[in-house]
Amino acid sequence: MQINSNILSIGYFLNYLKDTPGSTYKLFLHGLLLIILVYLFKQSVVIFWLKPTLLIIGFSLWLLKRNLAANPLFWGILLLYFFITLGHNYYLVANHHFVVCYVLTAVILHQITNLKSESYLHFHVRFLLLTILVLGALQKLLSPAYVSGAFFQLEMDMNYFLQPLDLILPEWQETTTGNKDLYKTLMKTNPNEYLDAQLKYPLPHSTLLATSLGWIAIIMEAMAGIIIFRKPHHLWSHLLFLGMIGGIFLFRMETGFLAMLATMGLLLSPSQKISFIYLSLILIFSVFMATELGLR
Amino acid sequence: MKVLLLKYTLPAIIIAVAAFQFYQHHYHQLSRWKGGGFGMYSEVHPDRRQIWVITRDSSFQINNKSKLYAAAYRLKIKPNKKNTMAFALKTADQLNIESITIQIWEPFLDISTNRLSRIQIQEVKYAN
Repeated sequence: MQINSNILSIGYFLNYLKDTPGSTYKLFLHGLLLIILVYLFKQSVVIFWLKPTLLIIGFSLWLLKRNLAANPLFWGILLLYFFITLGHNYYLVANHHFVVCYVLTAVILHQITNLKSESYLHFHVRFLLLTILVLGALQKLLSPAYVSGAFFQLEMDMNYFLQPLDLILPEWQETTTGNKDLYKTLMKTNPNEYLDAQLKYPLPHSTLLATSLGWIAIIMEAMAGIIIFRKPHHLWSHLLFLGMIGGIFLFRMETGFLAMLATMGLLLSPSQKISFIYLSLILIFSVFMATELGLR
Repeated sequence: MKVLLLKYTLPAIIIAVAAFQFYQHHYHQLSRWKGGGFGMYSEVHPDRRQIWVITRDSSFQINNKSKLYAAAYRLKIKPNKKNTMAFALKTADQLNIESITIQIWEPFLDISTNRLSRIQIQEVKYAN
């Protein structure tokens, strides 16, 4: 048996995108499905009967109709699951749980209305990206702890932000480990004794760095949100958006949330090469989620 | 009309959820991290907040081995007066005592000196 090695090449993939009409939309649906499945299996059991029921229904649907991604009923069942868990734990779930609900609603609306054009789906995804990023920037802007740089500095002191620096700078790891020990010791004491702890700066000019990076994050988030909403098919919009995804990944491996952003970016992708980058990111982030290297 | 509904219903829901989160944050102390307002990484995570129980004889922190942990975790997310009072009642009932003080603290970093301390964000005294 001869295996066509071309199937694994980037060129083959780019040609597939070029030659297959609607391929970006199909890849978007499969990317979304992949992330949701990883998220579902990793999410702790909230209601004991819910996941088995969902599995049985999903499997039955697959037996009846193989192309699940084109079936609004399938997406509807997934939405129902996310809706039930959202209702059950409204204030406990992460923000990307809300995002999954919104994206699933957009997909279902698109599929049940039988619109030939994908414009509504695109509009909904663009609007969602605008809301996520602009509100993210606004919330940071309204938070005194963030604007002062204190939040960012504490995350750096404790190695919750910029973790990859661990690999490059040995003194970073040493300092942040010491800070974590001080933090744990302080947290065990009675706060009414008003004790405190002197943390060490992990880098020279840490304060300036924390404040500047905090402001850069606000500006980049707001800009990426507005530009991708206004110019969704422009190459530069996607380069900025991809830069922002990469930036967030360096700060904190929020791979579940980043995978959702990459999936939405894929739908709006202006070229085959950009689609390839988004797809690679979706796969990488999903692996990080599944193996718990990154956050769910 | 149908076209407008199809196009704008979902954005209206997204905005309504976010507006509700803003309202809950400003008037009921809901953490920016929760409730669909996309305020993650804008303030200290509620996980880092601490709930301290002070009785006449002792003071202790609610940890993850406590029977009250699930209720305490919800309180960390929305530590307003009403929820803290409800938690105080529950704790007093569980410990079978008549008076109790519940305090909620969160880490505070002085950026100019890099000194870490804690600030109290809520306190409720309950006496039967």
